[in-house]
Amino acid sequence: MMRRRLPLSAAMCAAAATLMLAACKSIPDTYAPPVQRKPLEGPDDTALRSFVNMNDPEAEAYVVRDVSKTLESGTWRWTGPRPELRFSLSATANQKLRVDFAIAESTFRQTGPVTLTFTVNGNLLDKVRYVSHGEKRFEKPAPASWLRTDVHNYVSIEVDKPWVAPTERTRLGIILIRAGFVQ
Amino acid sequence: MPQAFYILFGAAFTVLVAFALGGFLLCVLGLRLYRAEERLLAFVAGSALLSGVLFALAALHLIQKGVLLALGLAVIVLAAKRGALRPRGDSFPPLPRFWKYLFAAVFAVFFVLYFTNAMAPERSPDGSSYHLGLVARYVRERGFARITTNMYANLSQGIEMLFLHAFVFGRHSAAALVHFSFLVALPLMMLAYAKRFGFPQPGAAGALFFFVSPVVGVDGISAYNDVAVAAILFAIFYLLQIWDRERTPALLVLIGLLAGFAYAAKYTAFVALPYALAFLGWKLYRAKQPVLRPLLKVTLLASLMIAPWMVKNWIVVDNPLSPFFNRLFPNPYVHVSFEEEYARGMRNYPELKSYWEIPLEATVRGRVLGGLLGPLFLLSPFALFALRKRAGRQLLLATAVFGSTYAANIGTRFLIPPAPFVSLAMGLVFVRLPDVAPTLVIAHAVFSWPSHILWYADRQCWRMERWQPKQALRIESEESWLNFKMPSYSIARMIETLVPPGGKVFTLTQVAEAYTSREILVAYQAASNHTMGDILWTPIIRDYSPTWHHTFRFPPERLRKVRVVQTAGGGPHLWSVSEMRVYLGDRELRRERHWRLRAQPNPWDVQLAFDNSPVTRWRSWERLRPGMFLEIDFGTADTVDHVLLECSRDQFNIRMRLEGQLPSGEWKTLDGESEQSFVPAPHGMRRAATEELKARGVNYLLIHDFDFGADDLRIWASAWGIERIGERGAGKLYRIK
Repeated sequence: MMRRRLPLSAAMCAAAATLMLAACKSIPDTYAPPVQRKPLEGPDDTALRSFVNMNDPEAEAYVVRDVSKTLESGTWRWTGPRPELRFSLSATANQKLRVDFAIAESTFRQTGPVTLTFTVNGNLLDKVRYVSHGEKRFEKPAPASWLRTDVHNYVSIEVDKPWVAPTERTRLGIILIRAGFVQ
Repeated sequence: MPQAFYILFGAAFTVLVAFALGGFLLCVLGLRLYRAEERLLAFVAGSALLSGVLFALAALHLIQKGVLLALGLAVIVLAAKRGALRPRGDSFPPLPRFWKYLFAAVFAVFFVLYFTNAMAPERSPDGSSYHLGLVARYVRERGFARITTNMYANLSQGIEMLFLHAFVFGRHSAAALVHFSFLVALPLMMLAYAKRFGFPQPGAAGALFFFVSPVVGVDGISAYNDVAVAAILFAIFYLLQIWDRERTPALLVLIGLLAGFAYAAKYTAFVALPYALAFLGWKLYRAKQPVLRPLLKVTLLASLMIAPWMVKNWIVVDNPLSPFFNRLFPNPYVHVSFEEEYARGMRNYPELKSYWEIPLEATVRGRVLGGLLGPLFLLSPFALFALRKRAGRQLLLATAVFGSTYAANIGTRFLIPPAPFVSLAMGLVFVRLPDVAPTLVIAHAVFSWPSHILWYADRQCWRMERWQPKQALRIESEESWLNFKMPSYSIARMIETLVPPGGKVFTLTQVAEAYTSREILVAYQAASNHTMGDILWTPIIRDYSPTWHHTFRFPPERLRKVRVVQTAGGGPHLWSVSEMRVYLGDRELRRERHWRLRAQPNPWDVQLAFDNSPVTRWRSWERLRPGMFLEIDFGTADTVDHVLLECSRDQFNIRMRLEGQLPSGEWKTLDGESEQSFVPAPHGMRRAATEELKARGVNYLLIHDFDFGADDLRIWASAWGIERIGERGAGKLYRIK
């Protein structure tokens, strides 16, 4: 009887020992210093510039709000009624805000003439009434005292009469092509 | 030859080989069972043996069609010669006519529904990702590969070994059909058990309660393993009940084998072995019979099925119980912090507000916990009335034991293992009330029919949609159906097309790996992947950048070693150090090859704090506690006067002390508190991050629109040094330049 029991017990002990051994696996203690990576140099490759075309690959980085993520016809994007963009400037003197945009014929038929209000860092730069559809350019010097070089500069455009889709809640402002500061 | 033929052949051949192996074993053991029992228990026991054989073949890299075909045919011929394929036992008396027709009708209708769904292209979330993703890799590599980048490869895969057998011949759907065979076998086993123990009508009712349950159906037709686990557990219960009545020693062989197979099939089924041992021990003790030898016999047989999986894990990932117990078995493959988070996540599903919602979610709503048992199971408390009968007590005890692991994962499908027992107990109760049981069976079937589930359940609950004969027979092609129904399929095929063989793809979200042969590294699935995710996020998350500098200053001292020791503890944070630099005056000491670096915990990543990269960092990957340290051994004594630690700001409650070892070997505190300063994040971290990934062999990124950082990668693709090479739905595939 004893003779038959032993192999079973021995096997159980072996199994238990195997498990215990698994717990005793040695961990490497020390490591040599690895290959050194080169120090990072050069300018910030994600820094915003002073001007952006809506078909630039990083155009979305300039958008604060209310500009479509979809690029239309490879050149422009729809805005909502209050688009806002941000820009970086290296100097504040002699900067002009330039916005190239269009008022779509299809939206103009519903809205009629629209007034756009341009603000820079919360300061009212101008209010312009557009009485026809088609491509437009807004350009006006921005006072240096309004601008900053250490933080982003925010430009917003308010459309007084956005186009409202009859069945949906979609509200469209203008067709934005490019915007920013030029000297 | 049509694809449907291969699918059916793969599944049928696997089931037949398992049946032959099991039949052979029953013959050898000389067991006398009823005819229905013979077939069903032969299939389940044979599955255990076949799974073990496949494990051995996979370990030897012999997974090839020819080998499996020859072995399978040999097993079938051998079993036939031995008479193992012929029924030997007596038949059970038939069910009463009404129940016979009711059972046959409901069973047949759902059988067809399930069969067409199981045979249709496999598209279950886990089945198409890791269950079959790993199986497909084993097929490609003709056996086990050393996988350290996917924690799912560390789970026991006993059922996946059966899938592997079927997959070789019929690919994905053949594997799902193998699981389906357990779905069919289990209710028949429940009925056979009930017939043997004298309550056939409750048995028929209970079997149907289980079989038509929506979550049981959708799980059973997928390449999952929960229903198979339930079948194994029920077989153990059944065999124990037979043993209790007949005390045939040979039954212990089957009980031991299946108790081990339960663990091999799923970790949470480990309870089968203690349950079996406790049952046997108690019965033997009560009968004043020897206890030790039968228990040792069962344990030894079980360990034959359990040990291979533990040993495999021990060899591959230094932890026999991986991906759990990493604190007990420290290893570089699964982080302790991940294990804790994962376990917490399984216990607390994000949208579940209170555990009191579980009964309704698991039976009626079905979205938050992933599936529903059906409203019938709201009546499961009535099963307690079955306590009046011996069989009821046994069933409810098994319910409690096999349900005890539910707390570890509160998904509905984790209720499948105890469900057969509670179903039979409910059958015992409801059959005593006139007409109630048939009414409940019919109502349960009606409410569980796929198109009826939305009468009451959440639209997003996990369920079958309808029967799918066209898809099952491939009248509609697999490609067309999967492209239509499964967005991650088209992403997997995009990877297959655009990534060259051998290419590695890093992603933050699981994809249908079973449909691509390229290696997919999912951020959360292994420590090394997690580190790559950390690297990728460092340029995006401001608090991950090494902008928080800690300087320890002290009078110039000749030191052999310096060590920064963590003195804070508690809280949710991990400790990390991006760079540790040593200075004398303005000069940083050059990191010499003879230096020796050490860290505790996570010693394996210590080099990340000494590689001069701002996007990599050593992390403790365990919650902050006093005594953690980073250490430099200079080899010889060197003069130093300050140490700089470049740290990230996502660990605001860290506190550190600097210690130094003098040439004499004595340790002293050099500085008890650091000077702290904040510096701007370095430029160019995006490109540095992708370079790090490249250095780790990753050349492709798969980013979904909903992944954290997806916008940044898309907008600043040029800064990251990546180019988009493909897009399917929400998934964008980038190549690192």
